[in-house]
Amino acid sequence: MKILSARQGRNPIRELSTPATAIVLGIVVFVISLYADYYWMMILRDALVFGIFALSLDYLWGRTGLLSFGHATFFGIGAYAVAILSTNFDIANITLLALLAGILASGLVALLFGYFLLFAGVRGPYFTIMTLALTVIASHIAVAWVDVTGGDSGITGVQPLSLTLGDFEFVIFAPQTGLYVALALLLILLLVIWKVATSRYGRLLKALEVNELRARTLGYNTPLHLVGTFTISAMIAALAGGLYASFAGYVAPDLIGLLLSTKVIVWVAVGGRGTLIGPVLGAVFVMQIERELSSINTSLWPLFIGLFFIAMVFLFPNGLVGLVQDLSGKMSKNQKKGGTESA
Amino acid sequence: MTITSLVPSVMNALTLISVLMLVAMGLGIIFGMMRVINLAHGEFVTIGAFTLSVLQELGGSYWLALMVAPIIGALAGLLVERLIVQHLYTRWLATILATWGLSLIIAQILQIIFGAGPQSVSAPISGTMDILGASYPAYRVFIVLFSAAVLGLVLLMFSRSNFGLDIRTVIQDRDMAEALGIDTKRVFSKAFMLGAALAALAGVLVGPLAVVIAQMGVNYLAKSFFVVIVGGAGSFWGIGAGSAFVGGLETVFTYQMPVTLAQALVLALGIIVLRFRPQGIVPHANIKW
Amino acid sequence: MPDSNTVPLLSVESVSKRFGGLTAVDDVSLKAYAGQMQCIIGANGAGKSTLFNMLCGSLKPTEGTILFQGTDITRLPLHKIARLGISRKFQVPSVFDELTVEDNLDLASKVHGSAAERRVNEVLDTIQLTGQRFIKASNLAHGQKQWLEIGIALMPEPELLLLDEPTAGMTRDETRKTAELLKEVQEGITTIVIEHDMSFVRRLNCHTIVLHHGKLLREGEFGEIEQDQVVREVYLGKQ
Ligand SMILES: Nc1ncnc2c1ncn2[C@@H]1O[C@H](COP(=O)(O)OP(=O)(O)OP(=O)(O)O)[C@@H](O)[C@H]1O
Ligand SMILES: [Mg+2]
Repeated sequence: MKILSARQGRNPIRELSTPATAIVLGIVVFVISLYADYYWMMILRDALVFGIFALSLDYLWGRTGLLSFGHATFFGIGAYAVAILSTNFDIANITLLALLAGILASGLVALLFGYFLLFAGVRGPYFTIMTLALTVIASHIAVAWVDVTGGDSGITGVQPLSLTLGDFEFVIFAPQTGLYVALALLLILLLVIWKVATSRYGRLLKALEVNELRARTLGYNTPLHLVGTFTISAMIAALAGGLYASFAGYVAPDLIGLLLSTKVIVWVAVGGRGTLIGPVLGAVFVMQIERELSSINTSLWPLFIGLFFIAMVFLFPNGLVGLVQDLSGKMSKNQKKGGTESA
Repeated sequence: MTITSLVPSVMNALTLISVLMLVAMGLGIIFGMMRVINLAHGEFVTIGAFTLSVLQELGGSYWLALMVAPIIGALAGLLVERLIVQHLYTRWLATILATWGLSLIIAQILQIIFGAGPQSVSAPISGTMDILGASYPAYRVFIVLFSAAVLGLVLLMFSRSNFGLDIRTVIQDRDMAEALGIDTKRVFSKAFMLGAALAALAGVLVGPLAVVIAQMGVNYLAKSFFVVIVGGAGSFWGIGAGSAFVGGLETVFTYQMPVTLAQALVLALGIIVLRFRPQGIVPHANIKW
Repeated sequence: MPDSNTVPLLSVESVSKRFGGLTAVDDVSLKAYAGQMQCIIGANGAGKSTLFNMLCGSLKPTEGTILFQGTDITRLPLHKIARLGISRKFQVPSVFDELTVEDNLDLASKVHGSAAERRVNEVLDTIQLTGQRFIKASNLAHGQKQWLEIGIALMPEPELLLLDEPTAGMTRDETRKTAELLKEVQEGITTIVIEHDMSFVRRLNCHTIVLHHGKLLREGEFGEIEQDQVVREVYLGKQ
């Protein structure tokens, strides 16, 4: 009996599933990249970048339960920072510096936003709605501040990422190079976040979601941890945004708006909130469906997302992955039952 | 500075404040009653504005739209409440996601039917009128006066009618309201319809001033939620204070800077206010988060 | 009672809490001396939990001061008060449902690494949940959850232990076990227990405070309290 409960508590297969899946993902992407043409290389590269974005939201939503309805704000800050700085300054390594600047700026916005709201005790729906207001205003700025952001038409001619040290020069120009860089960053982030999530600190974050008051009465400065997680999540989102801008070569207001914020929620929900690798796969999977549907009719996609949200709430509240788990769980339970009865 | 030179800015602020109050009233009340967050609320505004556009297209008058839109809004509200919100009372995340999905669907369907371009709507009154020596667009004066009248009726209804008493009792303590024999779900249903009707009415009022497109709702959604959170949910005066804060400051700032920057600044100030008054400017004793 | 010269560990001075028109705690003063155990009894809504909320900082008093080890903690934030060594068990079992019993305790530990593991083992033994170590807290029986929460409160080796109805919802047998458990761990830890179950309080047989409508009605040894005519009328008589 004791041994059985020990197995339940520390499920080695579950705990190792993230690195294992990450390795499989890495190999699969690498193999595809050997055969993919230019177009598919770009698709795959962008999918990985959005995978990083999905991971950033899952670190926040999946760990602490705080749902950001405005995560595209941070993606957009990263993207616009790279676009604005790299088209206005002509110095060595500008895109790389701009990427770092965007990550810092995004972190700062999240830090201030989170400090004022989370320390005031704003949680749950209120926090979500405030992030919604944030992203609406961010996209207004992106549209209206034409001199800097290029308004509706955005900014083109964004410089590719490059690293120049003396004679050494490395430029990410070909989609294939971008794809490998994105893949490497994604895998590193996945493993680091997985490491954090399975550590004591990760359990603390889970504890905050489950019962924040209890955690506070144990002496944890819980708002501080929430602000920290929010800030880190925003910085990862900005990294994804900056990568996207430098790879694609242009930015437009749809990178900072509510629709992208909504999409990333769908990716995480489809992949399974809190599973880390799930949201990454969710991003890849859902974006492919989006492409297919949009090639039939571009106005179908928002309808589809809308229906998805409603269906999710009523039919499969734990996401698609949760649905699959529930179904397979039921099946294996049935098998077990059969086993004990026959024994 | 003379009084005359202040008139346009004060009137601009009042226009914005009155529209915000009409839109936010429904949100604040239904939140206060059941902690329900309806992200499809902005679409009631859109529906109001589109009602105006369609009726004018068909040769109807503005005044007809002003009467019809609240009815259509109320019916839409009833539908949303019956089909979605009612089943999700206690689950805020589910409510947020489902009503957001609904919002996307409504906006997209309107866009498919009417196209992505702005709809044409026109104001019933044109020209300016004289206020304390300053000339000011007559239609905006009408918006302020008409909204004030409607809000006055709403306030009267809250404080005097049985329906208003029921709403306040539910906000105060839902369990007690039920113990007193109030059918809380029915009251909530009616309050939801009322909120939707007010938002649709606001849609008609702002229609001639705004760009009427299928996606216009989300701006009102974000702003009016902000009003509710900063002002304080669950009371008429909380909504009033929030609207005055957001509408007043935004108007003042737009004289100094681009409107988007003004909005960003208002958001930042509101967030700072929340740090010190987490329950809003007019906190309601029984509504906490 | 210890002589009045020793400094109390906890000193509550004329504390009141008002919620709008309702005065939930009304001008209550009490002291707790190192190593002492006391009970707070009182009818539903007497203000017992509200008093605890103020002691651990989740509510701030409308009036009055709370001194802990001689320093004023009245306005300190919740987590800082906890770090000073005040541990609390909530009235409604309040554990981290999604985590295992072990992880629940581990998070409550002040120390890390092998020291934490040792402490977890000790506490598991005390609360008799060693066998449930790897079970998710949500899968525990009600009584076990209560014990787990007592364990969480014990983990950081607190100076002051506040237990809000530790036997609520327990069977007779579990209640008896809990009383034994408390007597055992109480050695050395200053403890205040809120209880409804009179047979349990009788078993603890300690200094007892009676709250009534937010006011401190009586205090003394349980034996005296039990015999007190006023207390019998307003509280015990109703049972
Ligand atoms: N946060 C709050 N806001 C408003 N009123 C409150 C709040 N907390 C408690 N009260 C009220 O204060 C009074 C005292 O409540 P408290 O929980 O302290 O009672 P108690 O003695 O612990 O009762 P019980 O035995 O039922 O646990 C009650 O009338 C309660 O309704
Ligand atoms: Mg209590």
